Amino acid sequence: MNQFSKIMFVALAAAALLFSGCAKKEVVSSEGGASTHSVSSMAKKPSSNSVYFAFDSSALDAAGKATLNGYAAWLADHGGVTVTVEGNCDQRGSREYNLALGQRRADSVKAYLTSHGVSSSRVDTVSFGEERPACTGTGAACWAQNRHADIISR
Amino acid sequence: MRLLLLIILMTLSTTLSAVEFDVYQSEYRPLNIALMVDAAPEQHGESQKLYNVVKNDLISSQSFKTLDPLSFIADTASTLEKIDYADWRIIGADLVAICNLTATDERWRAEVKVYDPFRSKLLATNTLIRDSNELRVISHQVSDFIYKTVIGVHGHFNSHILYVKKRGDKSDLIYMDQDGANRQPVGKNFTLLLSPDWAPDGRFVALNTYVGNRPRLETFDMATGKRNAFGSFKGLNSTPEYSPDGRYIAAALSYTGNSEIHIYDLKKKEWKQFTDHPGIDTTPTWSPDGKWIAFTSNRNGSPQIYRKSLSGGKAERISLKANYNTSPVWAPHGDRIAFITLKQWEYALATVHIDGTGLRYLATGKRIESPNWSPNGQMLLYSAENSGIRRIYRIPAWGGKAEAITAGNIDASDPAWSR
Repeated sequence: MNQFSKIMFVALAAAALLFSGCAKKEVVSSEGGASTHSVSSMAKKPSSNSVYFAFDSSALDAAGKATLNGYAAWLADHGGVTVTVEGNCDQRGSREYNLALGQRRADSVKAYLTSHGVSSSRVDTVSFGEERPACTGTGAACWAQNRHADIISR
Repeated sequence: MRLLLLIILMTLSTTLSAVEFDVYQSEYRPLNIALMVDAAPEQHGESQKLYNVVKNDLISSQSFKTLDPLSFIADTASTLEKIDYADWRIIGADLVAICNLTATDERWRAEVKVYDPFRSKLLATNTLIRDSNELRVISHQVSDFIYKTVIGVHGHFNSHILYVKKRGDKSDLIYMDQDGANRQPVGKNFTLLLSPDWAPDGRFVALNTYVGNRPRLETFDMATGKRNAFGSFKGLNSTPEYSPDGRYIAAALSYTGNSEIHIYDLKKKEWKQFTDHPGIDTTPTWSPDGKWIAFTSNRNGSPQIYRKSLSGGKAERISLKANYNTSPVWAPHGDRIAFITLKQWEYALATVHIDGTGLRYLATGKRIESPNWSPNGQMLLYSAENSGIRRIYRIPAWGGKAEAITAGNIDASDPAWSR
């Protein structure tokens, strides 16, 4: 290993340490008594309520679609539950544009859910743009965590 | 190890930023001005205050440099009586401004004369009168008069600035004179506060805030503090901007299923849709004649600046370079649009002619955002982040030095200059 690659290795390792210190925010939601009747055949609520996006994009990836398939099934089994989709962005670019982008992310999640059988009246949307970052640092790992839409049940 | 990383990062960032950034600098050299204020001994304190306000105004414009009075050969009294141009040429004064301040009938009276020693000429003279509690106002008027006489453009020294101060989850709307005097909160405890825009009458402010986790548009009455919601649709309610005549507010709404520019008629209390395109349309800004609206749209894949006529027709693209251009603000004189652009890996404040030519980069900075023009189009405000804190900066639109106008220990954003 020459001197330069050693330095780069140290830098990368240190950067990885820094980024991993940026914990993902847990969104707590109440479920209006939905958990009281735990029939085994009923769809389970997906373990994650977040879907993630690429920079300046509102397109859903495979992981996001998998999460939303789970939510579509869960919502089908829990007819009384309504949800709000909250769209968020990383801090790059303009705040005003990011507000619109966050809305588009929330809308894209809503469109996916409604196309999978969820009534649109049960899905509300709101954008916080870059105003409520889950990770307040900078760097690619942190930004990636902040480009998300969360499904919050009411 | 941390230290090593820091050193590597610092070396890396200095090399990166040294690569390329042609920030625009004009050839303009500030003019040397000899400034004098004469007053009766009873008004010595006030005349000193006037002198300091005018001096600070002129220097902050970056168009003037005030000469040290210790270098003056002639004194104020004799210059008032009869100016000897040679005395001023010899110390390199491009200009001599002399103000005689008197108090009569509960009023301030300022008589101002501006001379050009190198052309041996009295350029202009003016008498200003204000109430006795308006010493700062009359001082700014003296600055305005000197500025107009020399630069040929109206001064902006009696204008005001609003910005948003964020503390934790709450935001306050802060008011100040353009020179930082009279700084005070005018609206407190908003849950998120974005994009305040000052109505041309100076009394109302349109803004975007959240109530119960819902965004909405409100007008804020500066006189009474009263808030009035005028846009609370499903989805986005954002980026309000008053038309130059104050009758309309353009904003971005998404209740149609997509973010579009809509226009609110304050008189009829009615909304009308202005753009209709599946891409994101946001941040509208009016041309000074009220005939066009420029806005950000990603209709061709990346955010770019477009303009569209109020009388209809297709949207024309203004920004030609870079794949990320947002936050357009039309200059009060109509010749340029200021916006935020991505240049290589840095975001920058830039201006461009309406036809997309004459691009000028003015400043870079982390999270550089929210450009806003001074009423005379000579200065720009913007916010940028430093160690996690955003500050408001002021920079001449013709290129110059950026100066912070908010403190380094409060989070300030979203500047709005009175019109």
